[in-house]
Amino acid sequence: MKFSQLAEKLDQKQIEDFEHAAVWKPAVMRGLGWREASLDPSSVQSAIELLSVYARAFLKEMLRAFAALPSEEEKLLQAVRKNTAMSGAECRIGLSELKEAGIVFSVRKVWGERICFIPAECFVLWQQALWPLRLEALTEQQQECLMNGQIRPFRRPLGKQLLSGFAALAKSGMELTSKGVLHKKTVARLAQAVDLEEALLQPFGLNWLHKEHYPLKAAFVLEAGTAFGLLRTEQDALKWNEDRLSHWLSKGEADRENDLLEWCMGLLLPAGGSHAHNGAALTALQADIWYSGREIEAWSGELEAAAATPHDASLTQSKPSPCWLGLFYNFGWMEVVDCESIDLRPEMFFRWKGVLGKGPGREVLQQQAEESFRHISVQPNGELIADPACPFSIRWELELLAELITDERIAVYRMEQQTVALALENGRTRHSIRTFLESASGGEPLPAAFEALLEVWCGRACRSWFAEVVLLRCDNEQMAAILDNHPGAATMLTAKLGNTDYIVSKAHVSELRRLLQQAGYPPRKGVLIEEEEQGGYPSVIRFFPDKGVQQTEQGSKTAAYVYEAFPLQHFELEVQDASSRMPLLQTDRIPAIWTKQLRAYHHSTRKELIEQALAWQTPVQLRMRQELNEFVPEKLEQKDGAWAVVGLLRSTEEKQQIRLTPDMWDEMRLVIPGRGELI
Amino acid sequence: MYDSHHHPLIVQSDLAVLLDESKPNAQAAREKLVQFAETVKRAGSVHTFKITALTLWNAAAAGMAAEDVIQCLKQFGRYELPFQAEASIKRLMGRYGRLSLISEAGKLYLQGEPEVLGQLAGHASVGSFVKHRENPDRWELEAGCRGSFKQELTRLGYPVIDRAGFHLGEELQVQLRGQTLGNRHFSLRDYQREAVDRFYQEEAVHGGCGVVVLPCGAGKTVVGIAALARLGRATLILTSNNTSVRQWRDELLDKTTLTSEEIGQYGGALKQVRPVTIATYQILTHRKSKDSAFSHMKLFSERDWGLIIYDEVHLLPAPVFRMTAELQATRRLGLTATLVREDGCAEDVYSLIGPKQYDMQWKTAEAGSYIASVSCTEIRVPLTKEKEQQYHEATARSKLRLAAENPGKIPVVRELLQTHADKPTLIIGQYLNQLHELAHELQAPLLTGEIPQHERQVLYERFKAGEIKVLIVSKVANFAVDLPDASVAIQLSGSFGSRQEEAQRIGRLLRPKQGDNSAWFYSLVTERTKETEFAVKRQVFMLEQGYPYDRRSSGIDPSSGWEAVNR
Repeated sequence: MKFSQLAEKLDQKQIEDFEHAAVWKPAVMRGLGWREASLDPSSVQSAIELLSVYARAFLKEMLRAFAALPSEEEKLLQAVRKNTAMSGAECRIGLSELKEAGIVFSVRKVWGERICFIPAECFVLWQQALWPLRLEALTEQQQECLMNGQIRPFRRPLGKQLLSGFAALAKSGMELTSKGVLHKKTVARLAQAVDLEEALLQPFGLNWLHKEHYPLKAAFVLEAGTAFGLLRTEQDALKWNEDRLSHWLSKGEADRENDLLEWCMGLLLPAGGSHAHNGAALTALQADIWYSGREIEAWSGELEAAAATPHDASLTQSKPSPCWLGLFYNFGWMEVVDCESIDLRPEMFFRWKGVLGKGPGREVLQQQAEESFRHISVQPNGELIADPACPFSIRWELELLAELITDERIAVYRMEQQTVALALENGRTRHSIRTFLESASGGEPLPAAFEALLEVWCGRACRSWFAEVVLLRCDNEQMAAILDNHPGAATMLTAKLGNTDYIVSKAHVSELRRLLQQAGYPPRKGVLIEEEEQGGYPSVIRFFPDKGVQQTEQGSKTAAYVYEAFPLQHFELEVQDASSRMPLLQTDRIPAIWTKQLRAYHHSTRKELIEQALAWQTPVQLRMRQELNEFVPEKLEQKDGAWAVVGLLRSTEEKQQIRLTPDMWDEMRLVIPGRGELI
Repeated sequence: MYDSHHHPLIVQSDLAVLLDESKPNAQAAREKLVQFAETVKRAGSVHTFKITALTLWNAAAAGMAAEDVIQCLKQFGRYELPFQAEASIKRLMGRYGRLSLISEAGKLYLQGEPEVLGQLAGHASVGSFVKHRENPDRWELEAGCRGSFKQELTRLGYPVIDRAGFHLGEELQVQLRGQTLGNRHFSLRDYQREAVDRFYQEEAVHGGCGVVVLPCGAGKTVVGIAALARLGRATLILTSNNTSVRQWRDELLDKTTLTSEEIGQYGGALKQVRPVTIATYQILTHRKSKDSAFSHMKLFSERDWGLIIYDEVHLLPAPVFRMTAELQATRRLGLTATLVREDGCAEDVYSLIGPKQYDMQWKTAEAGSYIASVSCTEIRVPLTKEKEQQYHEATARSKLRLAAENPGKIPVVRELLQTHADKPTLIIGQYLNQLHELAHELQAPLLTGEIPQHERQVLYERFKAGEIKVLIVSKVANFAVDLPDASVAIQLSGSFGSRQEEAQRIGRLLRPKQGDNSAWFYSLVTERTKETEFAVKRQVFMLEQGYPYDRRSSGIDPSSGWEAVNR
């Protein structure tokens, strides 16, 4: 579940409760609410320091083992207990604390099973705070060596790829077949317009709608369109939500790419299983600095090695590991160089591009985009050169008017007879094209030679068109005469065809119907032929920002094309508060001294204490040869009338199970997690 | 992201470079850029260039280093230089000068850094050329593979410097004249002298072979003749057509001390092999059938040539390349207006003819008045109502003819002739009926394919001498005749969308003119017909070649009828 979906499900009281948690105190003091703090790296960083030992250990192990993957609560508790030195009660306390602070959440399935999860966006921040990735930047000398490697060719940022994909969709027609899918040609054009290599998405094991019809790449683009609310499906066609499309196009590049990064991570991190760590950690790195991919491998290896047990195999079952570097490169966010190292092993080097707004000078570019009105340069031969800061709203129109030749620092489009014909087909006119190009080029007059070309291109096609009007038919001339003589109706008849038929504007149908009814000649209720809605390539060009458009972010929609790996939003969200914490420890039923003082009990009492600790899943404190040790009992063993306890001795460096017989310790007490009540 | 908005260069990672002419230091950037990039398009204010392995190696041959190129791109670049672009430049230029061919005791050797030879050893195609790997830095090559080996190395991306030397060839006594036969003062222009010097450089690594790039009309033939005179060796001149053969012959006689007995023409009925022989690519590649041998290729070995000149080297056909591969010990000079080849054989020009030795940009030539400044104008002429009706009912092919033969064009021609009354003017057309009618109307001579060769020559001479001010020529004649002194060309009809044809027609106006050094090209196009669409296609091409087009209407009202206008 995405963070925004989650937040929508919470009421104000629940959010206020989260904000009362100690971990968010510094954030609250800075004026941040829980929503902002949860997505604020520095708030998350300070929260880590304020988590209790149990909560911190629990979260760390939960994220290490499950990454962004939701998990059944019992399975999670078992796994955390297994891989840490915590007792069951300590694990539960840790989990409760995380839930009370709005860090970890759970949903309840109808049969009572509880699923714990952390939203993908939050996972990224906690992951980065818990396992900061500190890589050595390549030296200048090392960077020189990169020049001899295979530098992967330029890739457009995902936003631009999607723009081309959406434009291809709009140009090809969005009608659906009887099976409810787009036509094959449309799908092919859509996939062709996007540079992304589908193979890089395969390792995530994504599942998608109409698998037999849509390649994953096409489904991914359609999913993006739907996730951002740009596309919706109607009965027989996909439709643009023009307001949202316009809003999306009007965003600054860095904002749009960051939204896309967040969306991709939301989709791919849960699907990536334990490999999500690499993806999340990489996003913390700075732009414009070269790093070695080997260091990532080493870091990942250390993360793996730090665990008491390796990652749960079920998390990565038979899936090849995703290549995050390749994926980020394909999304146009990274540059990658493939080299052969001294040991002849292939090695990847990478750096983030500034497109996500992390690089120096992006603000300047953004500012230029806002200040400048000259976004394109029209060349006499029909080439349109768009500068890097050219807004997407203008690029959207350029995609219709011209063919994209190259798109890198600058984009070069080329207008030709057939591209103009398509634009005319989509309702543009010579006048509207001229007006658009002049405005987009800052009011500069178009080159005379270009004007001449445009005149020729617009000189033939679309000089005539079919209009959707309504035919009003009368059963005979007498009825027609009644219409002709009706003072109100006659003015609404656009033209008479033959003796009994009239052309009527669609806008006048209701009024005519009313007048005829009033005159005592009610027309037939039905209309003989169903009218079709006007389709075509949406016009989003607005040279002045549209203040009326609401901020519309993705979040509230359900998966349309690519399924979420673990959809949770349909289940009931549980909220835990302090009052529901630890109902299990009924300490009043045991002698208070059992928890408060170290004593040398009789072996039978020792066994009672151990049994109580096992029931509560709490540790015990043991004095063994003058040393105090914490011991987490796991099971009692009885043999030949004697007993022993197997468990974990926490004071040893290595986490190992030991077997203790009651004579092996001198004194003991029960430890209630969270209470240090020693007398 | 680095952004210097006022800088004129935009460098893409694939080494395409855009030059924004509207920026203040565009001219300075252009002057640097042309040293290591080739022009692709120059329409409007943003011109497109491309940096390739060959342009970089040509720059390296001229003494530039990778750092110079990178420095220039950074200095004038609007955005940060893409990492990939920088790496490509360093890698490609870094390979230059690391391999060379030498000749010792009649044997051919490849010498180079062991690391580079090691890389080459990994290419299977190289193995067949190697006779013996003497050392890690020196391989003996098979005899006679000098050209084909260089071709292969260039294909693999490894330029090799050919230091294997040239043989001298048969000696020839020849000098340039100070006064031409036509009694005009003659001397080389500075840039022509510089081009010859660069080619000749006896001691330099690349002296003796290479390509000189000059715009149309800037005197490439003169550069070839001067190189010939400078070397003083028997020379084979290969050119693109018979007209050009005659032009070379006339120029040689006019500007050098060579006699007609010393100059042979090899083509058509004449098969003369003389100390200076001029032949066409067509005759060299002639063969009786697809499988038979090229019978005239023997021309390459019929004399001990000391120099081969390849005129219009961008048109050099593949069989001549193959032959040239075997003639690497002979000095070679390529002449062209462009190194861009549409057949992708630019690498062969580099490896077999040689690197670019001299390049003068069209803008520089125009600024220095070495070529004329041409104004191109399209004039739209409407059809009469009656003709328009015919046009709409006609078949596709007839439509083109009706548009081309629009009688409304004739009064426009008259008007243009009045405007440029004192200028030598060519009228070029496609359809003979129309041309005959026009010739009758204007009482001007008509030169078509129907006219015998000697009569064409007479007309050509009279036009050249200024006795005829207006000459009407058909498409056939247009291709066959060189008309150096035309200042005005009126294209009555073009052949559909042939871009090359229009480029050639405009190119003929480029030779420097007396007076204000201006020339005019008019294209008459019938409004609202297919002709305008074809004209648009041709003009887009011309715009990209750097010829701005104006457009205007004929100002004639078709409803009044052409007869009225003609009266």
